[in-house]
Amino acid sequence: MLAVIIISVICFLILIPLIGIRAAPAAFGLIGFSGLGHTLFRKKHDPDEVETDERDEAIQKTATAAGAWTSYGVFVAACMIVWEVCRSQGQTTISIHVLPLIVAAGGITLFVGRSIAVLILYRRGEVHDES
Amino acid sequence: MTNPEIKNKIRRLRFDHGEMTQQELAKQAGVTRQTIIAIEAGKYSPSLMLAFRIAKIFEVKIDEVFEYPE
Repeated sequence: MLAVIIISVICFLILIPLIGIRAAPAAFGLIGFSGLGHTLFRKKHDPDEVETDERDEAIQKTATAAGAWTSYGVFVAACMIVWEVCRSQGQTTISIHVLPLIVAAGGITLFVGRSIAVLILYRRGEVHDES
Repeated sequence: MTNPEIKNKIRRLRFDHGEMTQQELAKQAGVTRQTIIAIEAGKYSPSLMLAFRIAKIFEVKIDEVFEYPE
């Protein structure tokens, strides 16, 4: 993963004088290859080793719920902000480009919120299995 | 309603059973070592099934492993 990121940064720096600063960030698309690392550099699986257990599942469940609620809050807030801005400006129509931005904001918040919750829960370790 | 902190004697039982390591207990219980660490530290309350498995490993009753506060 780190190697892919370093290669991407190097390619970005090389592309700047070649295609310009606006197009050079395309080099960061190489980071997508880091997804192959799990397949190419898989460690030998020990059949006795437990990879995930009930605590991991409980953390994933709690983190997903936290991400979902945060995403819902962001989605509602975004809708209310757009409504208030349009109302204050006397607009009766909203640009069609606003809706996918609101949906994207909610989606991004879901993943980011879930990721942060996973980090916090693993750090604190305070999870209760409610199964 | 807050969950009361359930105490356990897993660490002492491990040492009483041939100084069993956390990894060995985790392997027998079918969980990760991190889960055993969290249980011993009181940061994770195991499921009923896991609690019974741990008690069975030590060949004791479940209330000899886990203590519910009064």
